[in-house]
Amino acid sequence: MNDQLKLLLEGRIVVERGPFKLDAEVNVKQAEIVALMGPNGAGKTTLLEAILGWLPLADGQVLLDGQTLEVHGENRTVPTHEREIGMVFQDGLLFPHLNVMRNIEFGTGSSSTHVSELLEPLEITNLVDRYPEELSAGQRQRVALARTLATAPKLVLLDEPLGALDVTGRVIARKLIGNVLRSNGAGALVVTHDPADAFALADRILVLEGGRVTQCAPPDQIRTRPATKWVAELVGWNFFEGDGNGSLVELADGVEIATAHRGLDGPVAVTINPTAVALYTQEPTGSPRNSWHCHVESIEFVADVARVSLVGPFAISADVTRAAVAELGIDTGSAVWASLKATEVGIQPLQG
Amino acid sequence: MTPQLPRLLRLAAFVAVAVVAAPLFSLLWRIPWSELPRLLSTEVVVDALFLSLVTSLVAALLALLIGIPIAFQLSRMTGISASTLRAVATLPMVLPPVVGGAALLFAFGRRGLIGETLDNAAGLVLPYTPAGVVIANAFVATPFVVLTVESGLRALDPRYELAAASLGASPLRSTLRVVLPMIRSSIVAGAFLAWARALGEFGATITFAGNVPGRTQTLPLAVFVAMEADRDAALAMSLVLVFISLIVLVCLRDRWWPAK
Amino acid sequence: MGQQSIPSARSMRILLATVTVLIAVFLNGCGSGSHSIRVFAASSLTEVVQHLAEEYETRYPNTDVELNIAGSGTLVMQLQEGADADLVILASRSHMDQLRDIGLVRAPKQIAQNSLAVIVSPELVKDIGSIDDVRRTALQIAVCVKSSPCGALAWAYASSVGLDLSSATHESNVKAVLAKVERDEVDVGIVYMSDLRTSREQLGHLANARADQYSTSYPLAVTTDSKARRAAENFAALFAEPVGQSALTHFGFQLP
Repeated sequence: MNDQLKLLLEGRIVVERGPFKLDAEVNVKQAEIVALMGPNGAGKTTLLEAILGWLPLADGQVLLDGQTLEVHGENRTVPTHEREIGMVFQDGLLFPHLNVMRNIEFGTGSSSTHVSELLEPLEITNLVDRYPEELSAGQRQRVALARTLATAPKLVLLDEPLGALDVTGRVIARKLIGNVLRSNGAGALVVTHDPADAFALADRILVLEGGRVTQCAPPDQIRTRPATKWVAELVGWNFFEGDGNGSLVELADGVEIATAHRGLDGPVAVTINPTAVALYTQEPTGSPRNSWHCHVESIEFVADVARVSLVGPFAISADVTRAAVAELGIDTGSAVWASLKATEVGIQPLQG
Repeated sequence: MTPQLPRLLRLAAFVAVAVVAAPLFSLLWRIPWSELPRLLSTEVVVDALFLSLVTSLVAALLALLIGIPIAFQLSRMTGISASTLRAVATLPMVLPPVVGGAALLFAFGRRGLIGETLDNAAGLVLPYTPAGVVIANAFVATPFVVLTVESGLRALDPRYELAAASLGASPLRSTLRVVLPMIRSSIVAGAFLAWARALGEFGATITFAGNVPGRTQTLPLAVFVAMEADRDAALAMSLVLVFISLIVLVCLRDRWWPAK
Repeated sequence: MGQQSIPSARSMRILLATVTVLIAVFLNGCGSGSHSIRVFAASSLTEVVQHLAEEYETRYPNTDVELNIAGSGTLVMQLQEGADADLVILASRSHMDQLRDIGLVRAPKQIAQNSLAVIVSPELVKDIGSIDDVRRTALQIAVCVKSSPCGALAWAYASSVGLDLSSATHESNVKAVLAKVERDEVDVGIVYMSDLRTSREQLGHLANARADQYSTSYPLAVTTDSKARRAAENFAALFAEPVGQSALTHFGFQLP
């Protein structure tokens, strides 16, 4: 995404709820879609509710389109209904006593031209007379999005918009929602727990863990340079913490990993793409410095790729082709050699 | 299939139902059926029936007007303050009605705290007027509205209000267009219970509003007076009350308290 | 709906035990009285019968007097529905006749007479001096229900002087009328002379209203199925003795 685009949402959101403290910087640019990810209880929904002004800030501020919505300690807080921020809930939360058309028109004055432009792309034109209870989960979700977009909000918040859908419904809805959000031109902040949604929809991914932002980067960077163990597991990468020493990193269990970096010193995070881990039945010749004798703990197949989980001096995963598994003749319990080029080892500062 | 009840429990239930139903059957048994049209068309009965219907309906509306705001306030409170306010708001439901009537007298009576001011300022006297009947009825009926509406509000997902606000609806618009319609069944149930309670009100009415035929003598008061003067008329009026109450309760079915 | 406190099994047991003890004490207390007579009396006689009941219990320490005081109409209804009484004293002959006609009592005796009084609330004593004042002003009036002895008298009186009772409140007994006037909840009431005499409030009395020409007599009778006939007759005899006679006159009744 173009960094020169003006910031739409600028916020530092601090909310305290008992022992839990959320303290997050969140920015969304004009027409940008940001995915908000993180483990359960990380504070994702709290963040959205605070941006909406539904929860009071314990510190920080929220600005939208250059206008101050709320600054902690100042009285002139803009109430939720005047913020021009729309919200789409996981279960749609359509008003059950209103039919689809009245739901969609709930927040509009009477700009029906705008409404009719939304019905077609979301494929809900023929549902307008129905009541929410007569709709499928996917239909409800699309109506909910139409209802929010009909108010022409400057920013759209979506809380697990695809969470209630089955696999096929997800794919269709993801595509529709993505298209509509793109053509709408408003900024969007989408909470999702599914990396597929985030990678398909988002320009940027914001990762929230334990109330703090641990990574905020475009999807490609998230995929290739996971900053925390949680993100690494999300994208399927190996992630280790260790002590840097020159070009070597020593892990907690004594394993040393050689890298292409120099002058390492102190705690670092090591990320390794599982496709970079090569497997051999014999000890590799030419003795690459990163090679370990391991046992196969499990093999999982996804399409043509096999995820081989290894235990040995340390636990590491390798992605190889289905054909390679057959060629190597490995199975659970087999002994293998895992090797890795030093250039494939990613190094990042350790998050505090 | 629902599991069968233990035999002992079924027997106990049968006995209990018999105990509850016996007085009702005895009442029906004593009613002079052939005389009914004549008994129910006397001036006293027609006046009392008309007065009862009008005052109980107005009282039910007044109970909604008073009870719904209290229920909203209660639904946002927790802990001891909520328990205290709920206890105060529902006290008239368990208080002997005659005590409620006396309390109303001390408040709105001619020498009452508020009544004296009303009398001096506007010449407004509530006791011995149909308005007094409405006040007494609403006083005992309001708790039914408070309880049903509060339980409806507590069962409502608060995110609906967030959804309405995020669509630009002010708190007032959100309350009127989203919350009230969504708890409609609780409000209807509360209104019906309040109406039924108001229709059967006796103690608070006779204490506060007196027993003026044609003005404050509602059906239950007329029954009370007729028990000594004209037993058959009393029975005929009792039948009307039983009939109306039964219809209300049957119509409410399982909507006594709104389903969660 | 909030937190619900579920009583523990322990507190339930304590509650049950308490209730059991209370029931036992109650039943025991009821059973221990050796004898008792039950007297049904019209409410205008409240003070007189209370006084005589004390007198009776000093004379016959083994016998308790249970008083059931209500409007004559209510008492008649209770007796018609099978209430147990040994002695009945009502405020009108016609009410007693209803009981005699169905055989509940025989040969009633007249013990006292009482006449009407128009009374005015303490607040209005200065303003209302005659029945004409009552007729002229829209005042709130209280009377007994028509079916009661004092109600029947009050209506007869009102029609004779052209007093409109259409917006009067109908109280079930005369003491309720008195109380409403005393507390200034109504302006004017029609009660008995005896009520005026026993009232502690500074009530106004329209002595010139000639309500005292309307009077009623108080018949007394022992019930036919009384199981304490002797004791009931002893109580009845008190009314003819000096103690009874002086009590009746003291509380504003006339002797027959």
